[in-house]
Amino acid sequence: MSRTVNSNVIKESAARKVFRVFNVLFLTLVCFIVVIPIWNVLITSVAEDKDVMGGVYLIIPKSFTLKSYARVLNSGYMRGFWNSLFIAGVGTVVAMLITVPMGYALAQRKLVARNFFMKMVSLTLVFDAGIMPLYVLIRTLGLIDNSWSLILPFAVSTFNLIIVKNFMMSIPESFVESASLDGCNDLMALVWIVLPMSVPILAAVTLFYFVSFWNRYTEAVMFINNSARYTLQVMLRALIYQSDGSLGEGNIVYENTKMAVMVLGMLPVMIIYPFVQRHFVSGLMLGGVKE
Amino acid sequence: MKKLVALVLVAIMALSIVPVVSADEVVTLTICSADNTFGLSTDPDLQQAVVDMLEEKCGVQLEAIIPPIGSYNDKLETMMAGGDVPDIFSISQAMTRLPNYVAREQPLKLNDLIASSPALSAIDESFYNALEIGGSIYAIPYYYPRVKCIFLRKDIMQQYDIQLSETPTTEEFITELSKLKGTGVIPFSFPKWIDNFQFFLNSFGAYAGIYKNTEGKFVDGMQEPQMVDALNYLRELYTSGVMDQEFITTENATMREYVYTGKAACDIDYVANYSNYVSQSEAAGKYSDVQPIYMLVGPDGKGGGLNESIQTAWCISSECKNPEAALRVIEALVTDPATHAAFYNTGVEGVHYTIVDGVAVATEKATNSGYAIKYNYITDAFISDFSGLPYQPTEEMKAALELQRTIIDKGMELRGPKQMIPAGKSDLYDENSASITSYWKEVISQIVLGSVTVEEGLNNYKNFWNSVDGDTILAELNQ
Repeated sequence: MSRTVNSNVIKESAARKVFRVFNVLFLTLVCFIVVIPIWNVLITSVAEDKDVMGGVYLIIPKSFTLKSYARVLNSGYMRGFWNSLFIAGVGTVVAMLITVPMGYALAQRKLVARNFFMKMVSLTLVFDAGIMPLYVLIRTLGLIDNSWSLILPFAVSTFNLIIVKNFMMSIPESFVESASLDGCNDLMALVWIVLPMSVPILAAVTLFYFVSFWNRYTEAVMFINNSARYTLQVMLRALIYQSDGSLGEGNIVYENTKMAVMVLGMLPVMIIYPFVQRHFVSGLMLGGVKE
Repeated sequence: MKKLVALVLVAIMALSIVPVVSADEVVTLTICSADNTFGLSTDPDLQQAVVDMLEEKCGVQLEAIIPPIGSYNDKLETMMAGGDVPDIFSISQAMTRLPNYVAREQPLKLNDLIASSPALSAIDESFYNALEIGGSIYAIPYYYPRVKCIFLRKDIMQQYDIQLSETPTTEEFITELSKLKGTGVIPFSFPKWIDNFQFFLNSFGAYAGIYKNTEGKFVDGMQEPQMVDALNYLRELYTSGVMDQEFITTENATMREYVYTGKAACDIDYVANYSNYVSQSEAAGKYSDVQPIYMLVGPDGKGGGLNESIQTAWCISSECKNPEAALRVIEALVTDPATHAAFYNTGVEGVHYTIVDGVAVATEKATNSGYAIKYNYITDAFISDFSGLPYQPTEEMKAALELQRTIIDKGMELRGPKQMIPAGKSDLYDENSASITSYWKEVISQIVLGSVTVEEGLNNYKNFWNSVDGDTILAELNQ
């Protein structure tokens, strides 16, 4: 029996074995490069103050305390966390509510002037007006110092829209046609037929939007005046700069506190990612293909 | 029906008057300053407590804009370009930025307003003059000019027999610190900010950038003969191993931590930071006093500390509807002991700190946001007497601050030159000043790191200078 099995095994050449060993070593190295900074953030966030001074705290933990987390959870940074969560949560919902119907509409071959609309949409991928025109627009709309200034201008990402549109184009038209024969209008077809078939792309794009709203920094600084409305990213950067004390006036905040705020900043995405992970790759692959 | 319409119209007109009447009663002003002010905390609740205190003190309604310090200039300039200039705003790197703002007519000329305020008029005229543009004053400074020196750990001096005075020669500096080679201690930790090299250029009478020479003519410091010796010395500092070999990526915070923890023997920092070295080395479990080195004496007896002059100051917008009220706010910030201390360092009693036996103790909420009681205002401010405040530093801190005051005075006495180029005199300079500064920094860092020789670096600079028509810039400035 064992002889039979052995005869079925493809004999690997020495070169292939070397190649495989090299692959494993290389990917392990890449894995370390990715994991070490996250590991460093985690172990620094639970270290004692004295252990993190001098910039030598890298891989091996020297102490363990949750003092930094206790500090951060009872600090003003939590307000930034909730602000970020509001903007990322509401922003993602608004963005999906606009992107999905728009992607569906653009996926319809029968849409009048479809090519024109697509060209107009694609144009925004190439040209970015920059912060000043956006500031003037936000100011004209009366949205300065309003959290919606961080949501409405970014409600549609062209990249995400094209992914959604391409995915929906890959759904056979016969499904929608059958639905319309059964009395569905376009909206009903989208809700009852297309969306259930688009879960992978919806999961991927939801994550993209969430991360994009969660990490928004420059616009938050430029459009928000009242520090009570600042997002966590703004407060985190403020913390890092303030403690740098380059003007000789800042507070001295140790690395462990900074890293605890960073962990707080990573938390929502780390929580959401496992739930959408299984759809993530397939969604991207399908949405990225233009038929 | 007509009566009803008339009645409604009258009611609307009457209502429209109400806000006008109340607007006359309380002046509303916008105030913009980075988050290293407003009580030195990034917690919005704590910042608001300082705003409330300021409103009460000055009798105005304030809308505070408190961007993170790292993005402050971008925010301010975006607001200016978008037509939202705050009524009161602070500026950083005043010697570089103020001329640009004045050229764009953003700040109000303050000569008459300052003259109307006895408290602001009492400030030493030379501090106003440092920021004077075309005979006019557009900014009100609130602390002494910033000067940097080298802080050297005394325990390392003793352990390795390093004999350096407070004003050693350039050669002594290299020779003595070379004793640390092979000990694992970084002899001299230096930050990535290339401007700091001016400390060493001063020892050779060299100046990076355009400056007015002793004959009163504007010249380009990078092309003056003394620059060659100065750059050779900088290169030697690096090749001899005295300067941290990784300085090009070192942040200020890291540089300081190296000295606090004894990983490095010395660094370059503001004279007003002396007390931090004492307290933070103790916090790191590596307590040591530090010795200031105010300047290195060069071969020709020249030298001077790094003079950053007045870097931050207050301006009033040229569009401000009520400059007198705005001045009241600035006057309180600059000259009133309680307001100054609260705004720049300590915050508000009951919110940032409570007083226990005459000593301010940070509240738990404030501590959680990284706030700590700091007494820098005692040595930094123009205000001479803070004894009326209900809290005072501990005796140890008082002693350290007294010493710090002496160090600041000595640093001021031995500070090197700092020049401000007038705005609006040469359009070509106004257009190219940022790129000139950026290029000389690049060339100096390349020379120090050895990517190019001194000769090659200066040749590259000369080519750049010609490409921006530098000689025309000098001719226009000298007109």
